Amino acid sequence: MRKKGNILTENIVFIILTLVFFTILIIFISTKSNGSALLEESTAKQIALLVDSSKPGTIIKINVEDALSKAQKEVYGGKIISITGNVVTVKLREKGGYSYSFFNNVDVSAFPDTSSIDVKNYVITINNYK
Amino acid sequence: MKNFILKNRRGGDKILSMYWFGVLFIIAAGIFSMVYIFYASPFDVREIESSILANRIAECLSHEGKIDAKWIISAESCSDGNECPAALENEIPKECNLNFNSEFEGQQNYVQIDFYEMTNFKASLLEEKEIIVSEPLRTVYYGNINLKADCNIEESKDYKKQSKCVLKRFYAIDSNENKYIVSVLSATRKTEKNAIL
Repeated sequence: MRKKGNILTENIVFIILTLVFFTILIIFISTKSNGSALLEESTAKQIALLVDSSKPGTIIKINVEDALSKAQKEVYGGKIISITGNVVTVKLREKGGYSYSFFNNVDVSAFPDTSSIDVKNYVITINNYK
Repeated sequence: MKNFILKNRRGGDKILSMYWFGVLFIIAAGIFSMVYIFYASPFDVREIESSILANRIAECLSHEGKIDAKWIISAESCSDGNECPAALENEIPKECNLNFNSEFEGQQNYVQIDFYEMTNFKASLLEEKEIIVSEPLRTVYYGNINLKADCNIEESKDYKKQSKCVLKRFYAIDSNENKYIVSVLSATRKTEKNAIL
């Protein structure tokens, strides 16, 4: 009877360890794939390429729900997309941010779309050539 | 005897568990390293950027298939043995509305435009790659000229750390119906933000 009890405990410990092992693995993969840094980079590069291929007068609306929820999780309340000169900066964390430049010499402005109650989009306006 | 087998079997189970954990550890280490390498490498958008740049140059030079008179007059004056006006090089960013300043030190882009006469244009195939044999009427470039060397190397082998180049060619005419082949080579560096260093 005592031996059977030992076997059961060993099996339970074994199962628990295996579960812990795989849980850590899944947490690692999900944190890596859903990281703010990754979203910052992809958004900044997408905006830069969009600006590069746009002509003056173009208005681009970008859905930033994911980015805003990430910024909320990171307790960051600042502007998430800013354009200075010919550099796009996407910032979803207090200590972070990603910048990427575009070669199209246009005056660009980016601001949150306040037409709806909840801000879901950012509006990027391509103004005249500099 | 029965006791010995039981003991031995339990010992075997322990060895099996250790072996099982060893296998798990190896698999996990593999997955960890693969995920880490995959997410540590940045998105490489240099080729797309170079392609957009080449398209922009083509749009800027040719309007509905006709080359702006300014480029052709300069090309003709150069072909006559006259020195090409240096000012036209500086005209590229102005005419095509380009700004190669970036978050990096130094320019990260390069553009080279070659004008060929259609009547004298010759190209040959070498190892499934088309090589232009004829001399261009005129070559105009703008940006970081050091990147051009990367484009030459890229033709033989593709290195991640090098600039990404795109070569586009189009046909155009001038106001006198003269035919031209215009070749646009564009290169983008920005290696630090597009490839693992």
